[in-house]
Amino acid sequence: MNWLSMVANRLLWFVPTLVGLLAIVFVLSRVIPVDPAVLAAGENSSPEQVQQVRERFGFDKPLPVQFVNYLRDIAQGNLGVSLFTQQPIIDDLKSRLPATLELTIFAVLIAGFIGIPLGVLCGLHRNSWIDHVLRVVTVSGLAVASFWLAMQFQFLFSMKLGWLPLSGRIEGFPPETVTGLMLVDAMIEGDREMIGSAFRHIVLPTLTLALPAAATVVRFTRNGVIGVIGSPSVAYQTAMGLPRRLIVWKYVLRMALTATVTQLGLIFGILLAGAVVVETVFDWPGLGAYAVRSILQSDYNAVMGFTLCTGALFVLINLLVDMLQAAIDPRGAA
Amino acid sequence: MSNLLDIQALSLGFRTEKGIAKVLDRIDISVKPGEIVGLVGESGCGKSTLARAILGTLPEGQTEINSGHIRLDGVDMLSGGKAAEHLRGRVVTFVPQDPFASFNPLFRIGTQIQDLMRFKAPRDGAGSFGRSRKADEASAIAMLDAVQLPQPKAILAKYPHQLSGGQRQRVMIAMALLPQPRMIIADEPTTALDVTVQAQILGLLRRLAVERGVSVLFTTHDLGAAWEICDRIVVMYAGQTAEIAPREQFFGDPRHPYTRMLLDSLPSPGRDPVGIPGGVPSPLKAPDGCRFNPRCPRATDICHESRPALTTGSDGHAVACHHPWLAKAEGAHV
Repeated sequence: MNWLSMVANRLLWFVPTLVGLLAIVFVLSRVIPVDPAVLAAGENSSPEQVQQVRERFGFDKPLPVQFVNYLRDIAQGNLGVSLFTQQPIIDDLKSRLPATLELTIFAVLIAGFIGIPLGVLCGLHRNSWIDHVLRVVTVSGLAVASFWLAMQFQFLFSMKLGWLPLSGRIEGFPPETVTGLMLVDAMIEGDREMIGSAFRHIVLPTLTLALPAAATVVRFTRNGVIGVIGSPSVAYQTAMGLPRRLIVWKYVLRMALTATVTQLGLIFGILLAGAVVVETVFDWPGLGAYAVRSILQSDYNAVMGFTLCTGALFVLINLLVDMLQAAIDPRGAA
Repeated sequence: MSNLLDIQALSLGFRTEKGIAKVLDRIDISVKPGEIVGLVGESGCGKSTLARAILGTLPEGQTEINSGHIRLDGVDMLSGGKAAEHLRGRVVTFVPQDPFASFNPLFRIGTQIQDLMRFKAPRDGAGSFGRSRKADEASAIAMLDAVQLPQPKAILAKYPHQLSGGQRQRVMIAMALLPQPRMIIADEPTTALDVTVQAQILGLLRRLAVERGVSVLFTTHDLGAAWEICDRIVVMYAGQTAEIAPREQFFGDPRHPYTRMLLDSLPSPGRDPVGIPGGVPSPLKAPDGCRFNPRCPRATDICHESRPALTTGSDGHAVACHHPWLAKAEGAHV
């Protein structure tokens, strides 16, 4: 099977996966021990008012009918209205998604740039002192709670040294929104001060987010390299006298990365979970902070919207990972 | 004529958890220019270790070289220096046992050939700028044609898993010939192939080697394969050289008891094959003296006490045995 038919196959599966996700979100929303009609009508409303709301939103219809209506609403981009701000939830998500994407994209890049070379180093010098040191560091990196790490960073770099701002995305006027990624928009605008400010603000949150992900990348890359370095193909190339750097950085690395790339979906999950904490600590106006706020305010429609949005994002990322995987490994397109 | 490959009194062992495994015990082997030498013995006799020692792919940090030397074209191949590195892939090339595992599965055949040529193939004429992709491609295609692969140009664009086992081994032979070496080490090159393909590959290897005057050191446990292509045969037993004989004398007039028993274990018309009782001794606890003594019907006290020296007769037939069968003592054996 070639790459294109593989992608078509995966795209075909994308739709049922998404419907499955919607079904789970829908059932969750109906089994939580809160009457959505009461929530929507407000705590102090009369039973008549609640009944009115129930009929208006169709909560009195059978569940399958409700599910079909729910699917229709979603298809039209209608995720309901925030019980707190009275804004359509889709608008809230749209305005906050770019901030989270900015964090996660930069975090993935940093995790890759730090994690891949270190992983190769550990794999090549297995059980040497550098491997042992990095093993301790990566295990701690995975074990450390990100809110603790975030606060240590704030304490050291913002409060003690004063190098970086404590929280927020930018100081002064933000750039015109083009991509929604503050740093990229600032670059498009070309204002040096703006770029600097956006950069200084993003450093600590991305680092906090990236370090656990980098630890994962190190471990997978290391194990990938160890699996490949003893293989007959490396022995063959060594016997034929090919330069070590060509063997390692071209042939071994590509083999090792197939293992790492498969884990990108997992890593992205770690990042999304981490974003909830990191955005709250750094007051970063993304989806994570939105979720925390919505939960605290019992803004049930918003929580459902967030769940759906991150779930869809996760499915989408895994689709991309599959495509990337198939592009790297010609055998895997099955 | 002086020897191209000269191995003298080579002893080496591997450090294991249970002590040192003495895998090679004072091995003497030489190969003349253009000569095809077969290295025959059971699994675990050390023939692949010997091939790896020449090619520099012994396990790093676990190998102990106790005595002896390997000289190829006058260069010490055990030193690990630049000179040995330079020879590998140029003067001596390699045809591996498992052609599938020895290719990197993620790169096209053409890419892997091109990388080899970039570093190892001699430049034709046009000075230091003479190395062009076009010229490399043309000589690669010509070589694939020489190993009788149909549609050689299409093969360059394929991945290893898209070729059959026989095709992959033909590509390996082409890659071994492209640097225009003086010697090819072929480590059980047909073991992984179908029986019907084995004979074709052996015939091809012999024909191309003879045409180009390339020496071949060919390891095998298959006496039939050795008969097919070798000029001279070296029998190894448990890390020791047992007998070295020209092909005709090896099959017609074997002198070492082990060689005789090996030949008797082959099926032939009108006679039942006879197995050799016992098993190959562990290199961790090799017997003193001649390592074959526990299984040898002719063994006496001296065989337990002292190692027989390899003595060469006037006919170039060498045997390491205290009680060899005398030349033609009992008439032709086969």
